[in-house]
Amino acid sequence: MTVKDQIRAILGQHAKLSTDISAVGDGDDLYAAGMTSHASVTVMLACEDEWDIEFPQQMLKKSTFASVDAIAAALAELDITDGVGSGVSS
Amino acid sequence: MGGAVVSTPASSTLPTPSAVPRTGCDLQPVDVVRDAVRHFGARYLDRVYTPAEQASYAAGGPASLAARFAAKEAVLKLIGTADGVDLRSVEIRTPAVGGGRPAVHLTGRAAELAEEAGVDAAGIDVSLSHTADLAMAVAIGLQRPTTQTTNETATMNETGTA
Repeated sequence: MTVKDQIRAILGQHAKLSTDISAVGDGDDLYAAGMTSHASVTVMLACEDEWDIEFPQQMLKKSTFASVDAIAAALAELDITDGVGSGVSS
Repeated sequence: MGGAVVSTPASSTLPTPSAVPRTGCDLQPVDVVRDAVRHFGARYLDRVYTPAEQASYAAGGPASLAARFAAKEAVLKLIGTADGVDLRSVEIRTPAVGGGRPAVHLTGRAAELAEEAGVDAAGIDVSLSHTADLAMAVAIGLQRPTTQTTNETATMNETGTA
């Protein structure tokens, strides 16, 4: 399972999107798809649980969680990439 | 005509810019807050709410907490952005006994953003309400005009009357 697959699984459980996550493209705006600010907080916490990390304060921006690609990029900054980081299986 | 008449240059006859009201509002389903507490427990509570806010949860349950989350969001909308803001830096305080109006206490980045936006943090007022299913909050504050805005206004008026 890739990092993006894991992100999608987290979004499916916590983002409370108005559409199924499978219909959302990697670059699509998750807020436009129905994710609220509160949901972005729970997505953040779920990511932290998944990879045993903590997002630094400067990364806690709306844009960080705006899309699958954006979340993957933020995780990459924290050295979470495919096959790297706790909880990730390739 | 009574009183002293003071001759002033044309440029100073522009109306003095006064503070303008700014508002923010937010709506929060109670069940998602309840679910977040169940799923993430203390990590969610400690990451989002101050100890004083958590005390209100102990007394009022998830609806009370949802109202406080809505109030935080309403204040951040009033200020203009939530980027980089620790949600605990927007604290919604309520009197420990006897109810009464909630008060907003800004610290850290939230206080900095309010200052940058020209919003008087001490003057922000919030109103909270909730049913069993939904919580909502409205925040209102006064934003003073920035120096840049004043200069732009003056320039436009001078240009328009030249």
